Amino acid sequence: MTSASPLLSVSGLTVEFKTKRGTVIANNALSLTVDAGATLGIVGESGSGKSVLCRALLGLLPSPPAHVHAREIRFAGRDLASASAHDLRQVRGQDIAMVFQNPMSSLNPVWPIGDQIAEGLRVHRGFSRAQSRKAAIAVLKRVGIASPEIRVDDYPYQWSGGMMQRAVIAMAMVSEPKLLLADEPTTALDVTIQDQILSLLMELQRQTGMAIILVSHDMSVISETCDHVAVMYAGHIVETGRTADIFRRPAHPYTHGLLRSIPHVHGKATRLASIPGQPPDLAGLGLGCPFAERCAVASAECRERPIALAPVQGDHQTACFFPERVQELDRKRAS
Amino acid sequence: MSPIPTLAVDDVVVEFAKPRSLTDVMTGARPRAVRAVDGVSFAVYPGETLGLVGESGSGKSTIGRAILGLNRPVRGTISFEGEPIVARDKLRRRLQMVFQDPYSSLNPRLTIGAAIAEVLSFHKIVAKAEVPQEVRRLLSLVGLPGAMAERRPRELSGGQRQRAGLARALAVRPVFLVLDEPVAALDVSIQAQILNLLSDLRQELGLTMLFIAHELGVVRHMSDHIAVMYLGQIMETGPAKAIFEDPRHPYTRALLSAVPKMELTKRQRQPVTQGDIPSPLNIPTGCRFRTRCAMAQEICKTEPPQMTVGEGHMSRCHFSLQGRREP
Repeated sequence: MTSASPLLSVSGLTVEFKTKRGTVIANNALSLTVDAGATLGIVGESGSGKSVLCRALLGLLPSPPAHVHAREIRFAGRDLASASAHDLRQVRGQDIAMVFQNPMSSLNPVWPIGDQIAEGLRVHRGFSRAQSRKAAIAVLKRVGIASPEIRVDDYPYQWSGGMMQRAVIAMAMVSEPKLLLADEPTTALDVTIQDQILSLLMELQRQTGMAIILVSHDMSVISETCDHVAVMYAGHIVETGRTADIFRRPAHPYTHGLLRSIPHVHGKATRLASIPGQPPDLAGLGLGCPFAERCAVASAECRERPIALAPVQGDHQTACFFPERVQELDRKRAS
Repeated sequence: MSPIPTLAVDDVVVEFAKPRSLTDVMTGARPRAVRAVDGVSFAVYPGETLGLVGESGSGKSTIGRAILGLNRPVRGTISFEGEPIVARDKLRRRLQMVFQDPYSSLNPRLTIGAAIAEVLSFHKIVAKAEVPQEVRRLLSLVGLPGAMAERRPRELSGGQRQRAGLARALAVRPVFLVLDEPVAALDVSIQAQILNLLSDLRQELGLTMLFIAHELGVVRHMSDHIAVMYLGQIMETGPAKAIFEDPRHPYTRALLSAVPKMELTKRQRQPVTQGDIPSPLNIPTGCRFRTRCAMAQEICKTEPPQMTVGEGHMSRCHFSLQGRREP
């Protein structure tokens, strides 16, 4: 997206699961890039394939049942698509870190938090016990834990949900990663705690210049944290572009529908525009646009022609054949 | 405010006993209890929806469950249509609850149709011969095709399950619904469908509702009045418009500012609150919010007054009137 080569560039990433009911294509020929120091937001509803994408990037999907193939996964000049398990492990431990939704399931309940945070340093960098403890205290302080020199010996059950999510972020930050994958990092948290964690993530990004891929179902979270957005639906990226473009001039009916179905806290309360129907069964997906069944402006062509991202303007791309119809949706609603 | 409220909750306290450990018994420590709801009062008038909003541990679900008789208050009264609730048998036909995930409230072995028919026959809502017809009517009321009657809960999507749960609750033709986080588990596009359905049903059937949720946008969308809870107490209550446009309690303001605003610029600001929600076992003295409040002063260690700050608008803060816009 800039002239320098991006930190991460993925092209043609496809993830399939062989199931009894047929082949489920959870990620369908996805391409994306992330620049150093920038945030890419991946937004979509349950089952759209956002978490599978994160796990595929890190090589965390067990195969079978998953089949992952990609034309290219290039990270900081290295090709991850053909990397050995051992090399991937090195990258995971040092350059790419991940934060999951539920901090409780990322922490071992019977092991002190400090030890868990520093484990990576001992394994990957050969830190001694004293060194790693010192590093754990430093990173806990950085993520806003009060009196870290005492709390480093605590067990997870002694901490609240918000504190545990800070611990998980600390665990990710301790190796100073170039890329942080955050999969719904605030979904399990209360709104005031979510607010704290989002501020923390953005501040850490400013300080360290790490890139972030932030996966969320919540458009409002994306709006305050991301430079670029990729909207996922039924395993496809259906629209991608700069955050402001996506929010101000959505060029895909699904993005439009998502934005209009949010009940707002600020501004006027209006009747919500819901998207009719429900997401399709990924095992029985046909050739055409996966959103066609729920789309108010789809025509017969949409159900037959295979979709592909096409430019709208600049780096704003949509997989809709008729992006000009998206404006019609607002007029339709008004009347 | 002369009509009799459909539901009146008056000074209700709900406690959960904390199990005594062996050490407690040996040292003779007093048995301790978590006070999940501490002196909560509110009224819901016919046809109105009261939104109960708060973060985890605020006691909002406990109140909802107390109304249904699933938790027993240690103090206070809950009245339904002017009469304190004593026996619940007759109430079950008037008062129903919808839970967050009907997957855990619908019997997995019964088809949706059978689950609804069970309610219809038990309460003798319609004659036996008319049950299948009534099931279809209820399903269509919540926007489900009649064929869904043959399905089991696991064959339904989250949104469909929530519709089925709603149909079952509506089967007894209640006047009052307690909805406990009815859309929290749903995707946003499905959430909007259910919220619109609830608004329509409320109008069509003239339902009175207590709508419990943690998400402010959702609560605003559904409610005429709102009560904001924090650690077992109502911090602020009033008409929805007043709460969102002129909040008087610092906690309400913090909740509102913590919601991302879609400003489309990357966040640079500090978070609106510091620190964690205190444990309900260790509630701060005086104002419960003072440990996280930016306005807190010495006086906040004393019990804050419940100040009337407008028509039907109450705020439990020493500084409720500070910074008030002149009307």
